[in-house]
Amino acid sequence: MGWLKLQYLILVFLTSCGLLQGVFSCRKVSGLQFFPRRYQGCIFSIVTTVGAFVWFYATGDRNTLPVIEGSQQFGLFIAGAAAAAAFTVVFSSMVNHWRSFSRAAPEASAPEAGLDDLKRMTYLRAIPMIASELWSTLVDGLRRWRGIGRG
Amino acid sequence: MVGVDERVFLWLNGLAGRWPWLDRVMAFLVNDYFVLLCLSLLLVVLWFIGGTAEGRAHLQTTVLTTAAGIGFAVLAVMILNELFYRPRPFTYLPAKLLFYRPHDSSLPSNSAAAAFAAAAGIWLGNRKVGLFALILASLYAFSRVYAGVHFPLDVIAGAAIGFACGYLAFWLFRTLRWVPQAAIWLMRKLRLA
Repeated sequence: MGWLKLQYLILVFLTSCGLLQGVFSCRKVSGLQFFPRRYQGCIFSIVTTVGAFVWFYATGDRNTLPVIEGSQQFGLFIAGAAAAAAFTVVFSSMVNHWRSFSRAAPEASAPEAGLDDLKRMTYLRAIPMIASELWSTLVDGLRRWRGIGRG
Repeated sequence: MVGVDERVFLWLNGLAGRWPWLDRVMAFLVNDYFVLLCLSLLLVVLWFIGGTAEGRAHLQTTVLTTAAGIGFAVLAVMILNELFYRPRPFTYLPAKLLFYRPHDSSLPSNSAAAAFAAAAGIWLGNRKVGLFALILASLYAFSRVYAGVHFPLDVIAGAAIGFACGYLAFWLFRTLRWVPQAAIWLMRKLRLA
C-alpha cells in the first residue's frame, strides 16, 4: 500500500472515530462512549476530526500527483470507517466494562431496540443477546421454510 | 454552446490568481478528498444520529439510497466516458491551473456527479442536511472550474447526472422497499442501527 493510501486510510479512521464519539455522546449511547461525560466526547470528536484533517493537509500537497482513484477511495473509506466502528466497539467495551450498567443483568430488550440497547450495556455484553436472537431467527426461518416445503 | 461554455470558463478561471486567499480556499476545496470525504462522513453521522428507532430507520434508508445513487452516478459517468471524449480546458486554452493535469474526459465531471448524487440523496431524505450537502457540492463544482480542470458545462452535466441518479435510487428504494428494510433489520439485530 502506498504512503498516500495509508495516510488517507488513517484520515478516514480518525475522522470516523471522532464523529462516532460525537454522535454517541450527543445521543447518550453510553455503551459506545469512550468518556463518561458528554462534553468530553464532544471535545474528543472536534479535536480528532479537525486534527486529522489538519494533519492530512499539512503533510503534503493534495493537488498534485499521485492521487487515489475514485474506486480505491471508496474501498479505503469503507475499510477505514469499518475499522473505526470496530475500534469503537472494542475500546468502548473495554473502558466501560466496570461501569455500573455493565455488571447489571441485561434487561429484556424491545423487539426493535437496535442501537438503543447500547445505552444500558456495552457491545461485549450485548453479543450473547445478538447471537441468541440471530440463532432463534434462523431456526424460526428454517422451520417456516420446511413447513412451506411440506405444505 | 461550446463557445459560450469556453467564454464562461475563461471568465471564471480568470478569477484565479487575483486574490491569493480565494486561490487557497479553492485549492483546498478542489482536491479529490475533502468534499467527497465530508459528504461520506455525513452519511456515517446520519446513520447513527436519529433519536428514535423510526427516525433512525428513515435516515438509514436515506444513507442506503444515497450510497446507491453515488454508485449509479459513477457507473453512468464511466459509460459516458467510454462513448465520447472532451479534452480538458488546459489542453487548448490559456487556463490557470491550480491542480494536477487529469487525462480522462472533461465531460461529464465525475467529481460533480458523485458529489451531487450524494447531495441529492441526502436532500431527498432530509432537507436541512441536504441543503448543507448541496452547498458543499456546489462549491466543489465551482472550484473545479475555478481551478481550471473542468468547463462549466462539464460540472453542470455532472450535477444533472448526479441528481438524476440520486432520484433514481430514491425511486428504486421506494419501489423495492424491502431492500433497505432488510439491510436495516439485519444491522438492528447486530445493534449497529
